[in-house]
Amino acid sequence: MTFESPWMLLGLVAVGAVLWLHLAPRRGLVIPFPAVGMLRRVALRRVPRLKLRSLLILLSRILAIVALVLAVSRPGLTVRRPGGIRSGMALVQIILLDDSLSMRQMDSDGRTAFDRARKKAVAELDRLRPGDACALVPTGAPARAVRGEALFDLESVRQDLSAARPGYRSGDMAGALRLAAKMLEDSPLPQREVVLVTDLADGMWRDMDLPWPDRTGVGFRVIGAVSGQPPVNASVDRVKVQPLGDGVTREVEVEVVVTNHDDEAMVGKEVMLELDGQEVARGSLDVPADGSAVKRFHHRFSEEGVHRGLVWIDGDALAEDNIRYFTVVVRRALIVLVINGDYRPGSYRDEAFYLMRALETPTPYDIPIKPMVVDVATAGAAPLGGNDVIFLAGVESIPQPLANRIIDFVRSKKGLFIAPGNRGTSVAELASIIPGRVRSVRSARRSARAFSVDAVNRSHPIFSPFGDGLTGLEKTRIHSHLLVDPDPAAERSVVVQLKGGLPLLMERKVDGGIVMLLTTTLDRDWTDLPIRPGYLPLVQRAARYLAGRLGDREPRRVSVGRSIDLEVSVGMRRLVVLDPGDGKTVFAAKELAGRSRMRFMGTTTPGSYRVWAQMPGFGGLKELSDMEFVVETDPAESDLARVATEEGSDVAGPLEGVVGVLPIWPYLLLFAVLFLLFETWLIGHGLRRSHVSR
Amino acid sequence: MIERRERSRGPVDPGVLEAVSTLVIEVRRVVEGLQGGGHASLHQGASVEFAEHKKYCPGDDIRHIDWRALARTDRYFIKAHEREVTLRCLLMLDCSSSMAYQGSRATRSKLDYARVLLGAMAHVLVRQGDAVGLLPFASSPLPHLPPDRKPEYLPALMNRLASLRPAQDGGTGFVEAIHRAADHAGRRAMIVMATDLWDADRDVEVALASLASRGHDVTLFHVLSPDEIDFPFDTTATFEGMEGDGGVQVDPALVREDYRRAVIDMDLRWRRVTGEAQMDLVSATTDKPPEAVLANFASRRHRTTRRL
Repeated sequence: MTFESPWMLLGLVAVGAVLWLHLAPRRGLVIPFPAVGMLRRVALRRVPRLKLRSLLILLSRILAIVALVLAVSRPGLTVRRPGGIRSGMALVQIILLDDSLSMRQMDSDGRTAFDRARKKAVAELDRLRPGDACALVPTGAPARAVRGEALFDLESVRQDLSAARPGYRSGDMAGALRLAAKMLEDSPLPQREVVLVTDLADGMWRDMDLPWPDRTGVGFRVIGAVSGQPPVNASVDRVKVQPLGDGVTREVEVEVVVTNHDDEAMVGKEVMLELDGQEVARGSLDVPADGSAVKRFHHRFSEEGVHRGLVWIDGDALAEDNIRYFTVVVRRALIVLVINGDYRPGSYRDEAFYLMRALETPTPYDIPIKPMVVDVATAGAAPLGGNDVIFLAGVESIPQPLANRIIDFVRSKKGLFIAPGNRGTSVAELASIIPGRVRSVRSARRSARAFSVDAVNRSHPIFSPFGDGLTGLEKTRIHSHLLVDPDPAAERSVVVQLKGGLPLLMERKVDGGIVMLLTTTLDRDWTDLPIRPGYLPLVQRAARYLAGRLGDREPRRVSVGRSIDLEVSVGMRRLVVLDPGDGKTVFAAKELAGRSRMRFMGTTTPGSYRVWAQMPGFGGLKELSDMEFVVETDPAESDLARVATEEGSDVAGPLEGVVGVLPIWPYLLLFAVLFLLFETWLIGHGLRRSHVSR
Repeated sequence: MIERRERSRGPVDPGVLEAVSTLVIEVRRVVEGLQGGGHASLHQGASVEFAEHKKYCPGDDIRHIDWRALARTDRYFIKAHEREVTLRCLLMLDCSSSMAYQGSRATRSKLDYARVLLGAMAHVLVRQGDAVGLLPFASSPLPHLPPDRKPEYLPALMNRLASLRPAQDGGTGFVEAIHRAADHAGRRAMIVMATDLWDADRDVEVALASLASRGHDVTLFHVLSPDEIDFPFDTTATFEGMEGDGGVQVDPALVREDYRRAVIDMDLRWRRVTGEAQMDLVSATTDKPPEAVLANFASRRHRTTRRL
C-alpha cells in the first residue's frame, strides 16, 4: 500500500482523543435524585445492551476517524492487474511508446517491433471512452511529449500515433516517466494510468532508477510489442581511429569492436571498412556468444585532411546497429622542440620539467603535441626545420649560429616561445625578433608582495575560448619577472599584463612567424604559474597558436538524440549544420549574435555532421572541419534480450515494483461516512424512542 | 399567633385551609372515640342518645336491661343507645432526606407539600372535634404528638409540623414508624401517611397490611415530584442518591422509557397492595394544588362510605 500524503496519517492520534473522551471518567453534572435505587435497577437492566451500544458507538467513531484519516492520506493498493485499473470514472492515460533504436528490429514477417507496438497502442486508445484523455510520449532519448498535455481529443492522439516513427535514439524511460508524472499531475481526471508499449529490450531498463515521483493512484501497465525469442543480433559497438608512429606517415589504425548478443557464437563474421565512400578493407572475425571481438584495420592516407568512413558487418534483425560511422582528421602531430637552459633530466628542478608535462598531456579532440627537449649544445647541432615551435626555456644566452638559425626558423612562419631562467635571460642574440629589449629583473621585496596578473587579452586566440570566464591565471603569484623595454619600431602586443601595467606575456610577429616572450620562468623559480590551472591551456594553446594550428581538432562524438554545443565566433553571420541525410539546419546571424556557443539538438540520425559558417571577410560559407562531429547510436540498444518472455504478463526483474496502484481513498471516504451515519443512528435511536414515549 | 406562623413559615397555606374547610371527611369505619362527635357509629353502646329496645339475649350486659320496661311488660329489654364516637387520627409524615426533593417543575419540596396536606387535614379534623396526633418518622425515631381533640392543641401540632426538617442521614425507618403508629393509635384509628415510598420494601407492605388488619383506616398519600415520574433530564449526569445510597451515571435519554415504566409498575404494585389491605392510596404530585388532591381524596372517601 502506498500513501500520497503519508504525513496525514498523523491524524490517527485523534483515535486516542476519541478513546479518552469516551472512556475517561466524567464527573460533569451531579443531580441529587431520590429514586436512585430505581434508576440503578433500570440502568443495570440495560447494562449489557448499553455496553454493546456504547462499544458500537466507540467502534464506529474510531473506524470513521481511521477511515477518514486514511482517506485524506490518499492510499493506494499496489496491484498487478493485466487488464489495467478501470472503473466508471474518467481516465487520463499516458501512452509511453518506445521508439528507441531497438524497436527497429524486424521479425520474420518483415514487420518492425515499432509497427506492432503502434498497433497495440492504437488498441489501447480504442479502449478509451469519451471524456477520457490521452497523451503520447515517445521514450527515445530525450523523452518528449508529442503534445504538452493529455488531450480529450482522442482523434488527435490517434493521428500522433500514425505519424510516429522509430528513431535511432536510446531509451529514456526515466525521462518518459517524469514527463508522464507531470502530465498526470496536471490532469484533473480522477483515474490515472500509464501504459508502456515496448519491445521489453533489456537495455532499456539497465542501470535505471525509476524516477517515479508519486505513484499513488497511478496504474502502470507494460505491454510487450513482440513475443517469442529475441532475434539474433550483432552490432558494431565501437570504432576507434588512432594514428600510428609519430604521425608523420598519415597511417592510422582502425579498431572495430563487434559484439554478439546471441547465445551462440558467430564464426567468420564479415567486417568491412569504407573510407571516403570506397571500401578499403574487408575481413572476418569470430565473435563468442554474448561477447565481443576486435578487428583492426591499418590504412595509410594519401593526404592530410578530414576523412569520413564507416564500418559495416553482415545484416541481421537490427540492421541499423551494423554500421558505425566515424570521421578522422589526418594531420601529423605538432612537433615542439624545447631548448632547455638548465637541463636536469628527471628532476623537478629541471627548467622544462613542468613545461614538458603540460605539453605531453593529451586533451580531448585536439591534435597531439610531441615535444622533444634538448640542451643548448645539442640544439646547436640539431636541424630545426622539422619542428613547428621552439621553446627557449631558461636559456641565458645562446651561441650566435644557433641564434641565427632560430631567427631563420621564425622567419619561415614558425613560432618561438621564450621564457627566462632563474638567472634571467638577455637573449641579445635574438634582439631582432623578440618583442622588447630585456633591461633587468624585477623582484618583489617580500613574498607577500608578489606581483599578480591584472589583465588578459581575451580577444587573443589563446584566450578567446575562455570568453568572460576564468582563465586560471587570476591567482598566479609572480615573485620576479623581466623588465622589458618596448621597441617602438616592432609590431608588439601585450597578451597578459601584470598589475602596474608591466607585461607578463607579449608577442611579436616577424615575417609571418610569431615570437612570444614570457617575462617569468616556466618552472617555479620565479612564480607559481606551473601549478595554476591556467598553465596547461596556456602552454598548449600557445604552442598550437605559434604553429598556426590552433583550430586543428579531432571530430567530436555524440549519441543520437543528445545535444552538442557548436562554437560561435565573433561576427559569425551564419552557421549551417549538414546532417548525413543532407538535411540542413541553419542558424542565422540573429540567433548567433551575442553567443559564444550554439546548442544543436538535431542529432537524430547516426553519421557525420559537417559544419559550415559564414565569417566576416569571407564571401560565402566556409567549412569548419574542426567543428565537424559524429553522431553514434547507443550500443545498449543492440541488446534485444527481453526482460520477460510472456507479453506484458510477467515484468520481473528490473520492472518489479512498477505496478498499478489502485486508489482506495474513495472507498475509505465512503466507509467513514457510513460509520458516522451508523454512529448517528445509534445515538439517535435511543433519543427517538425517548421522545416518542414522553 | 398560630395563623401568623402559618403565614410566615407556610406549612399550612390559608388558601388551602379555606379550600379544605369544606372538606367532609367520611371515614369508612366508625372508630371508637373517647368523645362523641359528628361521626355516627355503627356500633351501639353507652351513650346519651336512646336508639331502640331489643330483647334480652343471654350474654347481654345486664347493666343495660331496661328495668322500667320489665316492670311494665314483664319482659326483658335491653336499652340500645346510638353511641357518638370521636375520630382518632394519626398523621404520619415521612421526614427522610428524599422528601427534601423538589424537582424542576414543582414550587415546593415533597416535605413541604406533605406538610400542607397533613396540616390541612389536622385543621379540619380538629375543627370537627376529632383527635389528631402527629407521628413524624425517619431513619431515627422522632418525637410524636399523641392524638388530642382540644382546639388549643392544633397550634402545637401545627408548630410541630412546621418545625420538621428532612433527616440528614439515609433511610426512612418505615417499619419502625408503622409499629410505633400501631402502638400510639389505640384500637381503631385513622392513620394518614404522607410519604414518597422510595424506601418501602416488602416488609413495609406487610407492616402496613398488618396495621390495616387491626381495624385502622390507613391512607397513603404518595407524594412525588413530577420529575420523579417523568425523568425529564436531558444531559448525561451522575444522579446522586439523597439517602446515602450512592450515585449512578446514566444518559437519561437511554433509560427514560424504562424508568417511567418502572414508576408505573411501582404505582400499580402499591395500588394492588393497598387494595388488598383495604387501604387508600392517593397520588399526590407536587405540581398539583394540594386542595385538589384533598378534594379528590374526600370525594372518593364519600363515595366509598355511601357504598358501605
